[in-house]
Amino acid sequence: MAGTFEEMSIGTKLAVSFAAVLFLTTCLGIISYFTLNGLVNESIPELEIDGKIAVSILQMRRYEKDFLMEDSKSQKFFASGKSQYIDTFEGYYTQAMKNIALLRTIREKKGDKEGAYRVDELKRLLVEYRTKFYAYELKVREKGDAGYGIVAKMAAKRAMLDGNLGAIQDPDANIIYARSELHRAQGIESLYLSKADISLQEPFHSAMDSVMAAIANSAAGKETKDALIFGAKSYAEGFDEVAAIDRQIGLNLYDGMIREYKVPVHSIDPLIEKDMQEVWDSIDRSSRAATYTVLFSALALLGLIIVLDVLILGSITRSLARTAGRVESASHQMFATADGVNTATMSVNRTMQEISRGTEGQSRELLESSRLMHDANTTTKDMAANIENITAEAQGVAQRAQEGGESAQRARQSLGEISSSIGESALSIKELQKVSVEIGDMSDTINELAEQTNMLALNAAIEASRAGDAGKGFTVVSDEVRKLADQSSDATEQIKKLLRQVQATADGAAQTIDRGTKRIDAGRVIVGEALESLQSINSSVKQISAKISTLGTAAQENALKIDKCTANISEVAAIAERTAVGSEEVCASSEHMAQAMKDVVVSAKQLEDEVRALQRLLGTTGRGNGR
Amino acid sequence: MTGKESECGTATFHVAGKEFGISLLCTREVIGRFALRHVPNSPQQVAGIISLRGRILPVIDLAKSLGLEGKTAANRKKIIVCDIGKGRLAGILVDDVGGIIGQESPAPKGGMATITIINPESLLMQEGTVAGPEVR
Repeated sequence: MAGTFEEMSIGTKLAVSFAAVLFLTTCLGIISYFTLNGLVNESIPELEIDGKIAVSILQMRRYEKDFLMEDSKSQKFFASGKSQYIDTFEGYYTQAMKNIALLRTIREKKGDKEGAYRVDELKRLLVEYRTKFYAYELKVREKGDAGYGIVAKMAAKRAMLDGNLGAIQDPDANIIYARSELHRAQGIESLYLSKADISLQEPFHSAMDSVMAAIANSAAGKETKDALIFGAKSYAEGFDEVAAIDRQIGLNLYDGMIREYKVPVHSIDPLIEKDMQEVWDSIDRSSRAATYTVLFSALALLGLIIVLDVLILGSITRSLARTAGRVESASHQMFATADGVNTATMSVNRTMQEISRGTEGQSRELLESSRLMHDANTTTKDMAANIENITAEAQGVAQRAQEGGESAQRARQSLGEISSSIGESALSIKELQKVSVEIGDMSDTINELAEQTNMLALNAAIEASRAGDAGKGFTVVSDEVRKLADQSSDATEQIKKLLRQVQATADGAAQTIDRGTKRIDAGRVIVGEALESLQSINSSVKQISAKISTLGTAAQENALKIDKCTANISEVAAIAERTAVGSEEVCASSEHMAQAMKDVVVSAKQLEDEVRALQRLLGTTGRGNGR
Repeated sequence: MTGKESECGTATFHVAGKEFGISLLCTREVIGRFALRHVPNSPQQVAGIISLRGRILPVIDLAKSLGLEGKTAANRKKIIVCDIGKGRLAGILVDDVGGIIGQESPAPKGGMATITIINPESLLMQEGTVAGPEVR
């Protein structure tokens, strides 16, 4: 062969060399172009699909969380046995499986056995996650009461703990808070107990009684801190008893089942990440290999050209220079393309970061709003409770005013009766005075009669003494008559004395009665005023009560509106959270892409530099030959 | 006083706070002063006249006759009708009549006391109030 080559003419040698160089250069250019182009074109759909799978799984987990948060609190779910979130969960699962199948097909076609194995593992984990989650969902639904009870138990325990802490810190100021928490716990407990075994209610009831007694005592201003804590503790112990029974009937769902089905889904995330990393690594490796191949080939070619350049004419050099120019423009084209892709990726990355930051801020603000709304709701509910208390108080006041009014009415009536009784007494005393005057007159008459009798007796004695001895007996009789008349006179004198006393007493009684009548009249006036005051109090209290009632209704409406607001904010917060997670994923993806693109750009740049060096070398040689 | 008089006993009476006595022999009866009628232009010791069962009697105010001052004539409530001799009757206006004092009578309360016994006949004659024979 060497002999054959030496035998050839210089023109033929040049032509052969030129043809060989041309052929090799063309081959290298084509190979490098297709290798790089193919690598990038093949790898981008894989990344895209990986991202789609990741998003689908993220959505599945979000709806799983919604199921746990919302459905297990809802009796409606246990009644119907159908979750609104399961359909959406299933939809995302189907989407993820479709994308996994697509990725598997791409990898098989490419012959990427390792990548295909990773896809299979991902599929296996996803199927396991779905199966176990459905098993859990079925278990919760089958034993809905107990599952619901566990959620209720947790909420109630937390409420009791909060109330307890508040009471320990400041027993007086936190009574209302503790009471509201206790009411919340009571509500949950009653929902739970309505379906649970009746024997479980006993510890709750006794504990609840002691807590309520403690609250009542505290409202009355007695020493209550210890009693309240004792009540809260026994209430929590009641829950512990129920939890023990739950464990006995094998429903330790939160501790066991959830942990079990969470295992596969926790393994999925690193797997997808690993897969994407692998894809990027393969792109990296391939592009690096291609770059090295091209560079080494170019160097070998350069050596060959230098050898031939000694022998071959400038035409070869020109042809080579043309070829090099084409290679340069191709690599330049590639560089420009890669740069453009890189710029676009970075721009996407920046935008995504901004979105992520924005949504994180939004999420934080929404959380704050939600917390504020919750506070406002608690305050409004307290206000509604207070308004109810005030209404009850106002009704009590109205009742007492009514009773007072009735008492005053009775008092007025009694005073009227007393006044008429006293009037009757006064009349009686006047009658008495009149009668005593008559008695005085009669005693005067009796006195007169006694005097006349005395005189008659005297005359009889005179007649008897004139009669001499015959009249002696009569003298004795007349003497006796005179004595009787004297006694009568004395008696009337005593009667007169007594009558004077009676009259004095009656006069005093009349004056007393007069004063009493005046006082009773004054009392009646006062009672009348009191009655009017009580009536006006009653009407005022009624007006106040009506206004307070309106206020209470408004507060309750407010509480409902705040509840709605809180629900809306929670929904928005969930969306923001999802957006943040999605944009972070996209960010990570585009960062990976940007990194890879930078590598490509560096490679292309190196290639371009090499080609330019070659061109410069060729140019120098060409010019030298031309000379 | 005669023995007959002392046997008869004495009626006591009061005039101007002083106690006097008069024999029952010359005493006819005691009446109230309600029928006393004043006589115009009569001497001051003559209280007036009364009609006793159809007989018109002069009534002497003893206090004025004896020159005793004290209560006015309106306070003298009793008239003692006396026999002033020869069937003539006259009235003595006194404050009040006390009682009868006889031999059989016990001593008055407050121990022994001295009383002035008046003789109406001499009293009236001395005064010249009742003149001439009694007119029937």
